[in-house]
Amino acid sequence: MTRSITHAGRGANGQSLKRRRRKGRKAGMAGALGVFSVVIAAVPAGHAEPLTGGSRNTFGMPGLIDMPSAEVRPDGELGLALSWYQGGTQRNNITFQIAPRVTGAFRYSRVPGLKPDPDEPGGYGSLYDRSFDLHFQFLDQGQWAPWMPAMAIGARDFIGTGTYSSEYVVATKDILPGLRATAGLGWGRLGSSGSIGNIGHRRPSDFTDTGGKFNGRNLFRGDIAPFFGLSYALNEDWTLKAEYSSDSYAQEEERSDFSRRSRVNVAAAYRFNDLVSAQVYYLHGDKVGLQFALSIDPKDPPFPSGIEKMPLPVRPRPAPSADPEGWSGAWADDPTARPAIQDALAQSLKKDGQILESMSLTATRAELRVRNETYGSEAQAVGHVVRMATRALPPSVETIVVTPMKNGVPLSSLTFRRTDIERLENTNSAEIAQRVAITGATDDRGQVRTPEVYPRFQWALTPYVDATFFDADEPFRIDLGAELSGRYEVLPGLIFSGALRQKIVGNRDKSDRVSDSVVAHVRSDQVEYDKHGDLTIPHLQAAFYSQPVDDIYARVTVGLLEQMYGGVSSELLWKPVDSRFALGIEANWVQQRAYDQRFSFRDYTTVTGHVSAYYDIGKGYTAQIDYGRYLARDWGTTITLDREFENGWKVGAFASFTDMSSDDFGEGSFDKGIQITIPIAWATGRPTLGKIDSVIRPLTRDGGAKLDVDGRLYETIRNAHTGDLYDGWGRFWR
Amino acid sequence: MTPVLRRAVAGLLVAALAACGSDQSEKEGTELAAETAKGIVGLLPIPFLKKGGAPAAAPNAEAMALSAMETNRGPLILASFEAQGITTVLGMIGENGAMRTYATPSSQAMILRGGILAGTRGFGHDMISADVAAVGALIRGRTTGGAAKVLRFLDGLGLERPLPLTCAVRTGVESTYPFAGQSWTGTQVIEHCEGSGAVIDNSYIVGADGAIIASRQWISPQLGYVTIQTIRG
Repeated sequence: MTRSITHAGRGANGQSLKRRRRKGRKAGMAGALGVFSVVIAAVPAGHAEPLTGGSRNTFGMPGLIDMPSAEVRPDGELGLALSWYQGGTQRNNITFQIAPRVTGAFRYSRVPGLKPDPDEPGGYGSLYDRSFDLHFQFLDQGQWAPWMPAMAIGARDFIGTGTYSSEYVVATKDILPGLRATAGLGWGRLGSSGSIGNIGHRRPSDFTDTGGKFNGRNLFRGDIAPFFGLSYALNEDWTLKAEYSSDSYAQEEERSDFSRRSRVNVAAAYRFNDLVSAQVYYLHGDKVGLQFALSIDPKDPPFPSGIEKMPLPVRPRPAPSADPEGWSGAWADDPTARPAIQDALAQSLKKDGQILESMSLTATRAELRVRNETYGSEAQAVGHVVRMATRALPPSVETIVVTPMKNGVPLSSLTFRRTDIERLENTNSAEIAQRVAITGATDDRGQVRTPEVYPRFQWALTPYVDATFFDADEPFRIDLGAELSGRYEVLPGLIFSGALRQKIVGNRDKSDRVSDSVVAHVRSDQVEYDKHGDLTIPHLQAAFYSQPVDDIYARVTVGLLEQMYGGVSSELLWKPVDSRFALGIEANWVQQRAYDQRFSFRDYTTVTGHVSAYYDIGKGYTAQIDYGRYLARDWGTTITLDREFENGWKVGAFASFTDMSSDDFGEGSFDKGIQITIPIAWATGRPTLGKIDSVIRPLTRDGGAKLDVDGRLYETIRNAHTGDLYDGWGRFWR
Repeated sequence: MTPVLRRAVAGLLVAALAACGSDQSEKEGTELAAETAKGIVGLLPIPFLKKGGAPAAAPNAEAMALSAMETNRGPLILASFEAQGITTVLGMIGENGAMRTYATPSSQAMILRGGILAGTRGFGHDMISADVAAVGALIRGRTTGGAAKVLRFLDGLGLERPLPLTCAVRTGVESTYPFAGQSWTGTQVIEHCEGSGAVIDNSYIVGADGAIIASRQWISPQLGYVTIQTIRG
């Protein structure tokens, strides 16, 4: 199933997000001081441990009910928290524990009574709004003295229209077993009830503004009010909470029949299991609320070691006296030896989900060029190849080289001594890591292609689901249909691919949103494209990949490149095998496709492209900076920061700053969003290269928009370079 | 049927349609959707959705062993996973020095170094490797003493995590019992290991030649203990 999700903004915008196939991540290898969490019952909270919270507030963040606390979520946790309460307020929150002490949130909320109603002068309707939060725990509980609480500072809705705009400094402390007390000071909405003073002036929120800008001038300005609360964990599963709120809900009370009768809110939270929890609230003295939350820990898959079949074991060589001919190397003169061995290896690799594209063989050395189509960890794939090689190669072959291939291009070479493989089978994977030489791909002229690998044709008929979120008239629209896709590899590196879609049922054609963008509608006509579901061609293209010189990779793609554009896309990437740094350049000439997504085009053509720098910062963080010309001919920079986990999970954020003015850009002011990548194998335990790639943009407008071409080089090659190889090295003997 | 209903039914048919074709990478998404649906149902705290029923009748280990001996020529072991209530025969598929790899009919593997469990494959919560040489020498030698042992596991990130243990080995009485048409005689050896909060009690029956005839060994926190009986050494 190809899943693509579209987000239509209030201004009738949308962004198609595609699933691309991506791979692995990078950092160091497993530390020797691993903590075996399941065995160790509970480590006493040391001073270096952040104070983590048991339940979330109505904003999905660490906290009480409406109020924040100084707690954080467990490191790396991705959360989805859906909160509702009587009167129609909804807060749909995605949270991520970016670092052990930093929590972030993206929120799509419905606030009744805040948006001027165009049909009824003086009346107000519901405001659908997006907002971002950041929360930083800067002090550990008991850090300098036993009595000291944990402390945090945070900002709600600091990029957005400012509906929930507020800042806080908050302290939380365990006072009795299970009982935690929280007290803080709030600004903005959190300073609106029971103010005890003020700092400067705070500009009021303007819900008709384009928003989306960093509200820097308002931070920690205006009235200040204190808030308090208690949480009591009855046991592992139940937590009771009460708070004295400093949010007056002034705007809601003023503009709608919203009432706030009490400053005291109470809640009961229940944890069903590690994944699912729920809460019931009694808010403002007259409203009942509910929250349903999922807390996903990327470090805790259902099957950490996978449920794929065992690898074939090493077959040690017989003693020289038992096979003098095999050890002599005389067999290498027999012209039938190599083809027979290659055929046996190709068969056995095929059963393992890999393709032996070519190999070379001498009396002492074999090099196998292999395409891994199955294992997220390239190290695991290579581990299988070398073990199979010990079962097929004559004893005189001591050097075994495995060269991972992708799109017909060799990415790196791993050179092993067969003696090491025999001796170190199923030992600590660090042992073999110290004995393998990882280099750029060899220049092996002796490679002989395996018969019947090329040409290769593959097809699939799958259902697809296309959903659209964030359209104020109908926040969720969905299409369901069938997709026929095909892929034809004529020669190594030359790939034709395409897809055909037919919608069967859905309501995305019912949207009457029209783009109000004042610049070229390079992305904001998404709704027009979404309305067409009859026999569309999402893409139809020819791609050619090559490695013109060492460390340089090249790609040219021609055809219908994506839903909205066709043309020519070309890219060069410099990436040495062991480099943390990579540099790319991409140039595209494209023409906008007609809304029916077949073979006709609209008048708009442009040249777009970027220079891109990629850097692996370490500790799981990676950065990408692009500078260039975007689809709407605007020039600027995109900054992307990702947190990558060794198992392939990735959560990140990006923002593009171009010379398009925020007035021209429209609502949101500049392009920004978050991206989440989840390996399918993480969820199922079964090995596959597939990943779910989701890009969530609060709004999709025309500024800072890039071409969405498939198979960009950096993601294509990195899995077989040292960073990703070492991240997955623990699976070498798996 | 109304057009709307017809389209809805058609939609359900597409959703139900198993993805087909030769391109595995394109089908993964559909398979994942099905897995996810199953997974979520499994997680919901609703009792009647949980798989219930009486546990399967304990298989007759003796009969399994005899039947395996008829159809296989190489070394065989019988393994019973206590927590899962699963008993299966494994045949040797690889031998590298003192290390032997045995496989189940469903291609999961157990790796034994001189009879001491040093790895599993394909069970989802595998022991990925283990350093058992020192403690193995004590056990096979039926010698009282202490030794270090390291078990390794893949954590959720795929990183290899060691669990260092300190083990004490002591010997017990000799016993004789019949199994699979043979009489087995050996000395009981107890191995008690502790480390990083883990407490493991393994036990072995070691033959006069130092071969481990039968054992009860700990694999991992999720898999618990497995009992291994030699069918054919």
